[in-house]
Amino acid sequence: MEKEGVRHKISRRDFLKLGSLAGLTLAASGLPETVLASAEEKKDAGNIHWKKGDDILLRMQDDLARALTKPREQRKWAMVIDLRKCTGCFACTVACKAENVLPPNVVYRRVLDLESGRYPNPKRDFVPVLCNHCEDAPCVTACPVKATTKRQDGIVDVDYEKCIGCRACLNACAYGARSFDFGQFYTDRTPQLQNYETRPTYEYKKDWPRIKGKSPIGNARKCHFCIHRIERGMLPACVATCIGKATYFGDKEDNLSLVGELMNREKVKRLKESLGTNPRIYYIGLEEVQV
Amino acid sequence: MISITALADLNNVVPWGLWVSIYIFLVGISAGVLALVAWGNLQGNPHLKKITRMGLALALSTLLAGLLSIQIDLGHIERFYKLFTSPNFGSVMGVMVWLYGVYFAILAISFLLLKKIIPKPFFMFSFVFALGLIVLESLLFARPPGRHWHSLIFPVHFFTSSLVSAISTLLFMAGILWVKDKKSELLLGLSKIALSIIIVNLIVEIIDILSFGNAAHLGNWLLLSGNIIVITLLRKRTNVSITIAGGVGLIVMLFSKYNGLISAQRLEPFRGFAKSYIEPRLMFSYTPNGFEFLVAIFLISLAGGLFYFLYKILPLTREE
Repeated sequence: MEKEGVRHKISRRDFLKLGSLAGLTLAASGLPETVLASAEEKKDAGNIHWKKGDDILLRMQDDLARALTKPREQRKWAMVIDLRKCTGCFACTVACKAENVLPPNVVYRRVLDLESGRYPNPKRDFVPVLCNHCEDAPCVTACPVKATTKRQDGIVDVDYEKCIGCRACLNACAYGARSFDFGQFYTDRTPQLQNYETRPTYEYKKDWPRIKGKSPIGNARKCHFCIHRIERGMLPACVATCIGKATYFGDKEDNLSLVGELMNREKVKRLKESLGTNPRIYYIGLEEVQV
Repeated sequence: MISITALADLNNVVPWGLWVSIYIFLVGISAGVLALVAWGNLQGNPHLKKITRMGLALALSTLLAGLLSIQIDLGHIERFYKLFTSPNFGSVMGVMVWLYGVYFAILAISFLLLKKIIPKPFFMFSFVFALGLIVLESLLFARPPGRHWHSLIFPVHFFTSSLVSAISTLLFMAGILWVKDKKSELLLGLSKIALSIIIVNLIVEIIDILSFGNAAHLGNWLLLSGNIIVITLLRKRTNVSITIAGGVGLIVMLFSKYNGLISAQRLEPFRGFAKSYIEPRLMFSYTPNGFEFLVAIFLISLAGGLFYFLYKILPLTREE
C-alpha cells in the first residue's frame, strides 16, 4: 500500500516535465552532439556498433571491446575527466567503494571540493583524484619487493600476496592515491560484522575474503582501473556511474575511441606534470582550477 | 600472521610514525658511531680509539633494535623474507636490506679483529660505508616525487643529526659506565668532539628550518632550545654535566627525527585533500598511542640491554 502511495506521488505530467528538463540539460551540455557528430564520420571504420543518439557509455564500451581485441602491450588505458562537467556528487567514490568492497580508511577515488574566488565571484570546483597509473610511477620504484608493478597496458597493480605492508609506496605517491588496509570494518564494535563487509572483494582476478592477518588486510591498496571489469568488456565502476558523464575511459592509443578523440580535440592537462611521472589521468578544464 | 601495525594510530597520511622514527634514530646512531670510531682510529684520535669496543657494541645493539623496529612496523611481518627472494634494487629500502647484510659482516669482522690490530684500510672502508649508509637512509625519505625531501639541506641535516645522535650516545654511555672510574679526561675529550659536531648540526638545522619556511613551528623551537641546552651542559665540563648532555642530546635527536618524519608527511598533496574524504585514518593528524610508546620504550631498552651485554662479553682492546 505504501509503495502505491509513493508511486502516485509522481504524476505523468511531472514525469514528462522532469524528462524534458533532463533532455534539455543534456542538450545544453554540448558533448553528446560533438561526440555523435564525430561518430558519424567514424562509422566507416567497420567496428563501431553504436549509433547516433546512443549514450556515450555505449560508445566507450564499444571502444573497450575494440581495445580488448588488441594484444595487451598495444593497449594504453587512460582516463579523461572533464572538470567542467563534474557535479561533485561523489557517486564515483561510492561506486568504487561498493565495487571493490572497500573497508574503512581505504579510498581509491576521492573528489576534491575546492572553493576559490571572492564575493561577488566565488567559484566551486570538483576534482576527482585517483591513482594516476603513472608511466614512471614512483611507487613501482619505491616498492622493495616488486609487489607493485606496471603492466604492459599501463595499469599499475599490486600483488597482494607479495606486498609486505611497508607503506613505502604510500609515501612515494605524489597524488596521495594509496591507502593502507588496517583491517577495520565499518561494523566493528557492533554485535555482528555485516555480510556486506565480510564478503570477498574481487580484485586482480581473484576473490579476497577479509580475514584478519590475510591479504588484502595489511596491504597497500589503490585504484586498478577495475581490471576485473575492463577485461570483461565493462567500464570501470566510476565511469559507469558518473551522472555528469564527466569521466571517460579507454585506450588512448586508439584515435577512434572517445578518450583518444577528447585528448586530441580538447586541451587536456595532468596533475603535477612537472614531477615527470607521466600520469595517465587527463583533465579537461584543469587550468581553470586552483588545485 | 596478525600484524601489530593495526594497533598503532597510524593513518594513510602519516603511514610512518613513531616506530619508523625509532628505526631511523637507532640506525642513525649505529652508523654514526661506526663512522666516528672508524674516523677516530684512522686519525689516531686517542679518545675515540679508546672507545672502539664500546662503539662497536653500540653499533651492533642499536642496529639490531632498529631493524626490529622496522620489522614490527610491517603489515605482513611473515613476508619479510621476500625482501631477499624478490628484491627491487631500484628501491632504496630494497637496497638497504642488502647493505645491512654487509654492515653485519663489517661488525662481525671488527669484533674478530678487536684483540688484534684492525688494519687501517678496513677502518677506511667502515668509515665510508657508515657515511654512505646514513646518506642512503636519508634518501629513503627523499624520492623526488615523494613529499619528504622538502629541502636540499635535508639530507645534510639528516647526516649531521645522525652524528649528533651517535656522539650523544657515546657520551651518555661513557658517562654512565665510567663516571665512577673518573675517566674524566676521556669524557672531556669526547665532549670537545661532541661540541663541534653539535654546533655544525645546529647551523644546518637552522638553515633547514628556514628553507622549509616553518620557523614558527613549536617543534622547531623545542629542537633549537634542546641543542642550546646540550651545548651549555657540555661547556660545564664536568662528568655529570657531560653525561646529562649526552642524555638530553639523545632525546633531542629522537625528537628531531620524529619531527622531520611526521611533519614532512603531513603535507597535503593537493589543496582540499584533507577534507575530500573524511574517515578516522585519513586524517592529517598523528599522535602515537600508548601502545606505540610502550613498544618504543621496549625497543630503546632492548638496544640498551644488548649494548650492556655486548660491552661485557667483548674483549678489551689494546688501548683499554
